[in-house]
Amino acid sequence: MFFETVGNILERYGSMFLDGTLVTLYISLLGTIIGLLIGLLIGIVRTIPLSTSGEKNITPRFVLLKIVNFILSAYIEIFRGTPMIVQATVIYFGLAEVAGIDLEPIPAGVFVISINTGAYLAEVVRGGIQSVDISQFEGAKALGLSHWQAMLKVILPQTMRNIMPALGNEFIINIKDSAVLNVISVTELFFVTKTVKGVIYKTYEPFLIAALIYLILTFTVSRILRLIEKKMAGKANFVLTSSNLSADDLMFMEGKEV
Amino acid sequence: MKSENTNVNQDSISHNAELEIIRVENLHKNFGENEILKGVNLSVKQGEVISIVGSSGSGKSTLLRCINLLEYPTKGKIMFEGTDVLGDKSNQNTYRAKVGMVFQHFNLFSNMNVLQNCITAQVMVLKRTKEEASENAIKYLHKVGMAEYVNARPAQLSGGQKQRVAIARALAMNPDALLFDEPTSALDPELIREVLKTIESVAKDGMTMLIVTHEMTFARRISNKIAFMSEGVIEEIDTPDVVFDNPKSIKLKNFLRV
Repeated sequence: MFFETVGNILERYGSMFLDGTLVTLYISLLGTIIGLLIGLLIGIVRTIPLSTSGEKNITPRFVLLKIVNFILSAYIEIFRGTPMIVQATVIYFGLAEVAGIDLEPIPAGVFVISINTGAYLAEVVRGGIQSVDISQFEGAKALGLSHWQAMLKVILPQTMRNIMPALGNEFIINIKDSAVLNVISVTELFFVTKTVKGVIYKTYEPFLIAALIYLILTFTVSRILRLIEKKMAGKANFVLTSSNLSADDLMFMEGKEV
Repeated sequence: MKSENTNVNQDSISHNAELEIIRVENLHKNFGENEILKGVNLSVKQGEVISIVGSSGSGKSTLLRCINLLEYPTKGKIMFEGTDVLGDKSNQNTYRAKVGMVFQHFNLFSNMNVLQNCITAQVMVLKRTKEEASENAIKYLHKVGMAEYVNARPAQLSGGQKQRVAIARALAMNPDALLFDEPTSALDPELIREVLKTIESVAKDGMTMLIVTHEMTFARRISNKIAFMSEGVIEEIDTPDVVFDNPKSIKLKNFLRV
């Protein structure tokens, strides 16, 4: 009886489930990526030293950074401290009523997930940057690299490796939590499931299907992320090169597996 | 205070013809309430090797870090090849590139292999092409006996190997002076020798060097001068023979006894 019902649902509404799944994947993936960019930007800004020379003078730079940091912490606190379902409602309907901006549900959904994720990842990135040993920064500075060059070449690559587990977490959370966007009629998996429920007057079967799809999505994603983490950790061994290689040989080898 | 001033004066009289690379005048550094450097004067001429010895907490490392601007001096003057380093803040990265630094904990970039470690700053700071930088890096990696390891990551090397790579990385910038901050203090006893040999061969090439070290025999062998630091000032500075065989101050006598 149960399997018959599930089979029937899949046969008749399978393509709706598929569409919903794609929307869920799309908004959570895009939201995580944009959120990461926001997080990186904020994390980088929040770790700019307040003074270049160690002097504690109140320079314009000092004041500006203080103000920017205040605004950024306010953003982080507000979006970490309120439920995403509330944020979605306020932003979607608020923008329409107050500013007259009528966003389509899906872009609105991506927007909400992005700024929400950005608030979380800003703190993750800040922690990731700060967990890179200070000696890496000093090594770079001693060679004459500027703060930004050191950031780009030395610190951020290591930060990315540090934050991968947290980033993966955030993506998985977004896959599941994008379900709350049904309140602003984003046609993601939960919204689609609700619709199917409304048509066939059966409750737990369609939601069980949804649960299974969510599980498949998150499980696959966590496996893929594990692979990426392994790849970022680098090869476990290295090859000794003959000591009379020329620079040309090395340039050639650099792009290849040796 | 008095003895060190007379020493500096004597130097400038006897070596008048030689080019002065680094000149430190009345350098002070406070960390909060703690005054670590209490007016250091030091003159380093081209090709000179000066070892700085003294007990822990005497300010040796802080002095080196101030010269490299990793710590910003509270008061005083640092002249590099006749230019006031603390005056023009916009040129500080160029200055750092001209004064190489070798750290106690190597500070190799853990996200890069040996070759990348040695070329990054050449490309970014000195604007050399990747080919020039690689060629130059390999030249110095040969010198320190690490050319075979271009593909290795720092984590795959022993402490002694890491330190030799760090020396090659500093040399590849073709600096006018090299600062060594306890380069063998973090090494296992059996690895110290290979690093000291490397430093000695760099000294023989005529590199101007300031070395903070606890290796007295080594310091005596390779230095033109030994500076003894105590409580934030240079208590005595003279040739190794005078400092070790004929110490003047009680503090130095006590230091040499232990």
